Amino acid sequence: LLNSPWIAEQAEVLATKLIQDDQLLDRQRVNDLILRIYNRKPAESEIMRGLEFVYDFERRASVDQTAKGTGPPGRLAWTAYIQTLLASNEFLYRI
Amino acid sequence: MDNRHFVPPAVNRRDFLRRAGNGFGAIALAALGTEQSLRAATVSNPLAPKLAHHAARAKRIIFLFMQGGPSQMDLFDYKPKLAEFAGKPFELPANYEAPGLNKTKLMGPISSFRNYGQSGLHMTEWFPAIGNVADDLCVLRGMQTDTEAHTTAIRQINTGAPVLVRPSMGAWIVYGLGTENANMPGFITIRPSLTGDAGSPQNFGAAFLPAIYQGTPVGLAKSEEPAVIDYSRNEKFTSGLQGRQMDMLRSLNREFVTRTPDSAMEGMIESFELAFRMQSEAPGLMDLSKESKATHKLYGIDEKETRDLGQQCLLARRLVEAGVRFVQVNDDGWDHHASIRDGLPKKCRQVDRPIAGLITDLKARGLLEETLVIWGGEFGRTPFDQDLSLGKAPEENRGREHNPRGFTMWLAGGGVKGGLVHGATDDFAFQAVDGKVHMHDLHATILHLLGLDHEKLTYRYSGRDFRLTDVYGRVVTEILA
Repeated sequence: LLNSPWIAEQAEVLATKLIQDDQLLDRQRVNDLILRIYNRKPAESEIMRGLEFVYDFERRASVDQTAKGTGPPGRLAWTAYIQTLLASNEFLYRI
Repeated sequence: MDNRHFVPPAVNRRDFLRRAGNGFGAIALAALGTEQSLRAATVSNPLAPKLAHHAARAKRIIFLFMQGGPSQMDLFDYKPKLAEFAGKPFELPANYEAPGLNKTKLMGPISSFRNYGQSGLHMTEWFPAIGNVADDLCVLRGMQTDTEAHTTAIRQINTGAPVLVRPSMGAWIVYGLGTENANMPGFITIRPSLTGDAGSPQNFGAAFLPAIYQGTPVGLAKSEEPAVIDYSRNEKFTSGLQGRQMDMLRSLNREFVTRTPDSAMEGMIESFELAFRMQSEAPGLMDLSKESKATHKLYGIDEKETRDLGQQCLLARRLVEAGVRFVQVNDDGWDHHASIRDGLPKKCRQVDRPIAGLITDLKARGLLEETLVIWGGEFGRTPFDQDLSLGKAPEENRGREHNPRGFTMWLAGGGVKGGLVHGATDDFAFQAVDGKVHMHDLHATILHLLGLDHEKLTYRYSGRDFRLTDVYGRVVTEILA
């Protein structure tokens, strides 16, 4: 799941839509994703963890030379976050 | 995104199905979960090497599975009487039924035999290269299995049980011993058949054992594609970035496991961890171009006819060398119901150099001593001929029917006597009469060589302790070195 080009593509499509709407706050984005993917409201701690992941991933992607060319770090970070949710046990086994 | 009209349901789809259906499944799963978390508390990594029951003679296995049923009387078990009575009618056992047997006659051995090696092992001239390693072979001429249909017999050689769904031999072994390389699965099966008579994922499955012990298939039977592990590389993220993603996944999954009672999820967490670690090692290991030209030649990769199995055998050696516990090489096409006179020598040419190359190479690298090589099919063939064309095809085109009553397999390396023949069939190589080794006995012996007691290697499931050998099995002490 983490290496499948198809799953990566789905995650990227969703990430692209998500960042197109520039009125949205990042915490709303995390909230919406968990609602969409897990079919439930997120806990505050989950929102914080999601944000922390996206920001950290974006920072790492922007300094990682080898990651360049696969997309802007922001989109890459949201793609990675979405893909992680899609590969998680909660999505695979509870929804 | 507008979520104003979206209200998460009180009961999600899965819960609804579970509650609406029979609740016993959930109870069983909860019980299983408790058992597994108890186990998880004591053993953190389920693939970590574990202590054997007694000193092991073999550390790893290469199982060369010759699917279809190689003909023992034409390869390893010459019968002068069969040659003498060739063409004469054969009295079938009572209630024996099979298609194309109405005017059945004995078929003499179709290949010439000779003695090989110091031990003078008597076998077909169609295996000249394997003949060069004859002194390493421990030939079991009295093999028996319970059924004579492919599906059931294949399941039995792989799992011990012909009908019910049971864990495969490789899964039991990795469950019992763990693996020596944390970056690779403990059990890899190369080009398995997944469908039809020839196979099913059950043959390398874990059944009720934790899922982490199931075999990882590499490539598919009859495929022209190179045998690789699917999705073993990530095109998008560097390994550093993916490591960060794995941390996130781990934390999501850990939290999920604590939130829900369903700790059977542990298996999924572990398999993701393993897959992530494999990325560092698997692609390099699978790359046969790293081997020298001489090695390629040794395995017959330089010739079209032997290339396919040669590549599989070389890959098997690379995997066991890297510490994979159980590697299965799958070869099919041994089911010679018809045209055995053309088909069998052709199969022999395809496998002779690759298999001999594997044994020679393992020996040269000092690996054979601790690697048990197993060769054989799910059963053997009959001494009488079979004519599936019902008289339409010429007599030379006949073949032989399946035969579970007596057939040949051989072992090499890891703690067995080389240059030894154990067991015998009757005058026509039809039934084992002496030194019988039932499939359960072979499994018990394989576990014994690995340091495992087949009566102690158990897993509690559904209220009782299960074994690879069920309630059967005898270690064939006569063949131990």
